[in-house]
Amino acid sequence: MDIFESMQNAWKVIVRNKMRSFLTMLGIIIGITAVIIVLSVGESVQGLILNEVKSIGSNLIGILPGHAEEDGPPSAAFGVVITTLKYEDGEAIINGGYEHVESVAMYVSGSDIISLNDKKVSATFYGTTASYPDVQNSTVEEGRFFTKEEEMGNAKVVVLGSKVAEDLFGDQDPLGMKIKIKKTNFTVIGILKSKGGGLIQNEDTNLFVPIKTAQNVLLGINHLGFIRVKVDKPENIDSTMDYIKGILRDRHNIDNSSEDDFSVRSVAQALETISSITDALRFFLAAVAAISLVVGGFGIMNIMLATVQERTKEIGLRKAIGAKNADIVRQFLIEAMTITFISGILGIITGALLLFLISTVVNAMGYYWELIISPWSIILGCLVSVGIGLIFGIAPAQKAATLNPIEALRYE
Amino acid sequence: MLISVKSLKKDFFNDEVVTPVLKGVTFDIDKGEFVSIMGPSGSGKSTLMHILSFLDKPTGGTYFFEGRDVSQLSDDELAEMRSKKVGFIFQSFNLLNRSSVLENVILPLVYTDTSASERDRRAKSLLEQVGLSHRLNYSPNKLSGGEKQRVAIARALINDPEVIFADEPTGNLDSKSGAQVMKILQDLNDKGHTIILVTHEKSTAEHAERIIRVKDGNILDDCKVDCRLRANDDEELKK
Repeated sequence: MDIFESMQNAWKVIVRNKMRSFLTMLGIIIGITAVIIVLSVGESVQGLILNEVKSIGSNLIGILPGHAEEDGPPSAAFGVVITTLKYEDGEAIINGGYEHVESVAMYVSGSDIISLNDKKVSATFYGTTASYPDVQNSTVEEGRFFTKEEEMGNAKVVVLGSKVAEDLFGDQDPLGMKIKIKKTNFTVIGILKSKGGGLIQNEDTNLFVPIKTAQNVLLGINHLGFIRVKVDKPENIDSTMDYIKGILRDRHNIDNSSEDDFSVRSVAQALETISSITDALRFFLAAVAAISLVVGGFGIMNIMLATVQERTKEIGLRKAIGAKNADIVRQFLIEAMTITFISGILGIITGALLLFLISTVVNAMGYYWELIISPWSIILGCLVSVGIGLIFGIAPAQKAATLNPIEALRYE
Repeated sequence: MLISVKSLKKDFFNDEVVTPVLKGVTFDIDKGEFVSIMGPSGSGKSTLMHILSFLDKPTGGTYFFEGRDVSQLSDDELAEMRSKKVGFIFQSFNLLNRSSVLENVILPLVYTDTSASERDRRAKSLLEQVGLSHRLNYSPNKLSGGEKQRVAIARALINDPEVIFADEPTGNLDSKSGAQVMKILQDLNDKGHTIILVTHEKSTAEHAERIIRVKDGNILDDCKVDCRLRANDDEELKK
């Protein structure tokens, strides 16, 4: 019995009743689509995180106000305003003189409609320290960043993200021009070089003003949004985190870590939190894949049982002219596997199209997302689909093989 | 001796009720014979044919084929015998409509280790012999009944069998096609093929040189040469 003939038969079974076949194959198609997405999205997320680490550096520590459990998100992440972190805390970390601390940047943020004459752009502005470009690995493309003197002296100067500069000024030279933030005029002194979108912050769409100016003039507050500390080497992150906690507990009169009114995280940890969210999503998709493959398998079993029933006479004839039971089993197993393999191929194509869609959408949103269709996922998709055909094809094939040829020939 | 059966018995078991279908039949068939097994429905002639053609196993007695006891063979060994030793012609043709005429004729060779080119060559030559070379790629359901049965005959011959079993081969045919099919069987017998014909029609049975009449699971009579004469008488009468 040649394989090619069995595959042709399978094709005929599919084509003869297209709607029925499609509905039966749907379970496998969805299952394999999910397999492809689960495996490939994993690699893309990894790429996204690596890119993030590259753009802001893996040697950063973030300090947020408010208590947080070891692995849970800090309460500040839920939009709760906590005022426990102060400018002086940041200064204390610098002045503590710990050898591994390279620099410290402090941040407050707000959003407003930024206007240049009649042109208006909605954007997020950050009040930050002069150390910002050093901590964030940012480069000033034109002009300069503000100085420590400007930071302390409520200077009304602003540095623009590349996207904001383009939106507001187009081809015009923005340096020296005045824009309005919260009805206050600011002089543009610099433009940052584009970094591309990031997971945590998209610098290109932000504006940067001295932190005291932001606190006193724009926001009217005296607490901080967060602090970032740049450590000399990644291996010193843990000890530096302990140092920071020590200083802050000391300043805030805290004896016990469970009473911390701040949380200290490394960038690596923050990204782990993000990847744990995508892991949950992948787990969900994997469950979808497993369930639909099993359901799809029973669908295939059903269509194969129907085929065996319809072709009882053919089976009788084949046995009469010399087919052994094993020949019949093989024929129907190959048919089942061909059907599931075709479903698998359709699933792989659907999965690839969806991945393409995801990458297009995510990239359009300004994040870095590489379109990865993992070759392993394709190989696995093929193997799994053929395997399902094998597993769920056995019972119908056995049924066909054990038909009595005399009765089968008489079957009408 | 090609076929030798002694006290061949077949009982069917149905809910512990035993129905004897063959009650002990004994006969021999030589190579090259043209034998009709004749009897009314329920006589056991079909069961006899099923056992002789390795589709079924007897429950008693012995069956020697080419000197080998085949009554106790396993399912796979029986399949092997069907594949190599016998060809089938059925009343309802049993062609696969999804396959072409050529593919239908080749089908028995699919279960042997014959090369693809050899399969094609043999099938085309046989289809030429039955006058269907112009129908190679047709679907069987486009053919007339007579043409279908000629395809089936070509299929029965493709593995060069020792015996051809024809089960009511003219039952679904008009008289002209029926006569054509019987003529082909006659010619095959003249070329030396052993043919065993199962029928309930006297006129069909009498094409054979020997008729074994079966009734209620027993052989009623088994006559040679004179049957041929009787058949000739019938032909005379028709004229």
